[in-house]
Amino acid sequence: MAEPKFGYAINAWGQPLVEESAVERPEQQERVFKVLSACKFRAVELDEGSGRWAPLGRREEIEIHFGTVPKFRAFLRSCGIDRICSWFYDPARGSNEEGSNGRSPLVVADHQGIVDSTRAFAQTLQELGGSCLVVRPTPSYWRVAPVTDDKLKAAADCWNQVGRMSRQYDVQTAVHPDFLSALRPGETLDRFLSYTDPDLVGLAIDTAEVTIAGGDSIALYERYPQRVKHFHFKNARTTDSLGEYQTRNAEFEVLSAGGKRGIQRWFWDMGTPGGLVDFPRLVKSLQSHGYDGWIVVEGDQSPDPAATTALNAYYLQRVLFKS
Amino acid sequence: MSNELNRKEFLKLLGGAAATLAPGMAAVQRALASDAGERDNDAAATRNIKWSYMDHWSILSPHGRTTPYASREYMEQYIRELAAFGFTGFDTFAFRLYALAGMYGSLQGFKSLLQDHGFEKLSGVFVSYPDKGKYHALHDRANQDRIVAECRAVMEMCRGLDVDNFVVMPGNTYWQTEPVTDDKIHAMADLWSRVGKMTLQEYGVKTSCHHEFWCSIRTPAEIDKFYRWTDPEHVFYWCDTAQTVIAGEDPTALYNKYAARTAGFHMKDTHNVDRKGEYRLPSDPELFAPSVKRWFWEMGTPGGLVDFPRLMAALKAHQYRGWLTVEHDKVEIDQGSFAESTGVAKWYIDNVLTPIYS
Repeated sequence: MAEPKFGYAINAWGQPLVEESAVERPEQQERVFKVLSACKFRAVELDEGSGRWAPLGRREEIEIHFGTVPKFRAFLRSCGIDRICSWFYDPARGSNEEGSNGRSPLVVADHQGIVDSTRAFAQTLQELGGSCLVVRPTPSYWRVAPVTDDKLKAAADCWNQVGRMSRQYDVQTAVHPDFLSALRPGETLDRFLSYTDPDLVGLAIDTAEVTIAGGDSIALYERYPQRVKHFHFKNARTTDSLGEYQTRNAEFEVLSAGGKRGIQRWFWDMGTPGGLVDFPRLVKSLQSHGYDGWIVVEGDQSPDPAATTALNAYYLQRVLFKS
Repeated sequence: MSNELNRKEFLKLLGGAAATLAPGMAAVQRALASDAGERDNDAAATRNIKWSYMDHWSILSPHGRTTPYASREYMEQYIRELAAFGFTGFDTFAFRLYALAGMYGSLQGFKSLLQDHGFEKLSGVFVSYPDKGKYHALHDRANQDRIVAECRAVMEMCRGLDVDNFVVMPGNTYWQTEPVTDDKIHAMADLWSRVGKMTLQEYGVKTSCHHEFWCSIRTPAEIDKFYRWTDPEHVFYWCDTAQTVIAGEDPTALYNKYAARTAGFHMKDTHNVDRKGEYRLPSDPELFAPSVKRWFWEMGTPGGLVDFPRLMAALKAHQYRGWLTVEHDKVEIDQGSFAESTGVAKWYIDNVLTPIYS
């Protein structure tokens, strides 16, 4: 089997358009990349963004700040980072560069725009040594409920087109349902996947998101071992047991503000006390099925991203992969 | 440079960890583990430099920035982070030994925590008396019995832990000592000779002297007299790279001069030399100098004044064997992340210093 490949997601340092982002200036980026390298993570997942607050969010911004994509890669290498392994893309985010206020895969008229938009990401990923475009497959549940067959088919068709396009650049498209997603673990996700072309669209499992949504990452992986092309490894201590994904404005009310229970932090480092994800059993399953995609560790919602990176590195190195 | 870090390379970098995950992979994993273990043993036998971390840290907790000493959970997080960065030694302050013993039942309990996380041991203990107070003027011979007894108490706490270094600030603040006369330097030299003889002969621990830029033994002339008047078999030199540069001196030159008596280093950088004589200001120039808010920076920051590659070349020339201790006091001044500073420093170690000497 191929050896698992590890990367780390830049979203730990704040997401584009969030004022608290800590990767705006080159010297900040250098420090972050060196921390990752010192923790033995040599591949990075970027987060799509637009405009001056997202200097690593898209090709145009990278070219503004580094001149060319190869120069950006040279900068990465100077920091001990070998490649950008993957890029997270959410079509709902607006893009001034594209004159878009956001698009929806459920809207057929938006499909060509999404394909055109993702092409630049796939091409840039290829130039940066990457191989996976990780996409948010639908808006949140509350925005699109009821989740009808027609909506699922429209979204599936959109990602089939993107998957066909990205293949031209040797980039795998993988859909990443989060815990607010319209694609719920189980029936809707199964139906959605059945409408996509398995040769074109893979599944990205985010261990925390699946757990919070009430699913089981291991069961999900074992249901689709050939279709899972990407992992986000992070932990959760709490599940959405109140079904608050259905709440109006759930991105704010639940993910950010913590819902009725005031959950301060949904996402945790892999070895956190009380963590609900059974990583040892998951990795055994990956080994037994010959998983060969990226495992990208995430530290979003950490108050100290560097500290969480080190904690995650410790868990990978001294616990999960210790004999 | 490899194009990507696969799991095997990842494991190699861990220095010994290996996976046993899938039944079909068991033989491969055992081979990996065996290879890694043998390589580690070989490396340990040939390695000249071991990296330790001096105990400055904070945790960003739900109740704000706090210390790892606030809970065992925070302390374990701290130790895990240091382990992930590859440190195998832990240095702390004497005043923290009581807290650690309380948290873990004994210092042996804390040592077990370290070793459970891949550390070799508690490698060093630091003590200082910045203020002379009523009984701690270090140049006053009348205080020496008391100070020797206090140092002995620290050694008693560390008994059985195999601590290597007892690092001391040899004088009080400059402003509480000046004028720094030969008589005072003699008195301090005699004090630390007594302490050094006690720690080495009775506890197997080296006493070494760490010269803050604001302490009373700071100039080349004062340092030279101090080491001439201390017992060379029992008092050693400890080089703090940033403190030395701030004082206007060259750490590599001082190391070359005292190589045979050097017990260790605090590896940190600075962006400033004290050109205004602020070392003399009360109460503590390290904290309150009017012209410099933050004296200390991690290795690898732009504008750093310490020539670490030159120092590493000197270590190689003298075939130094022992601990190099990374120290990051003052990160909190800019509300920074200790983990981030430590990661940046470790990157510098791995990519700049280790290729010179390891």
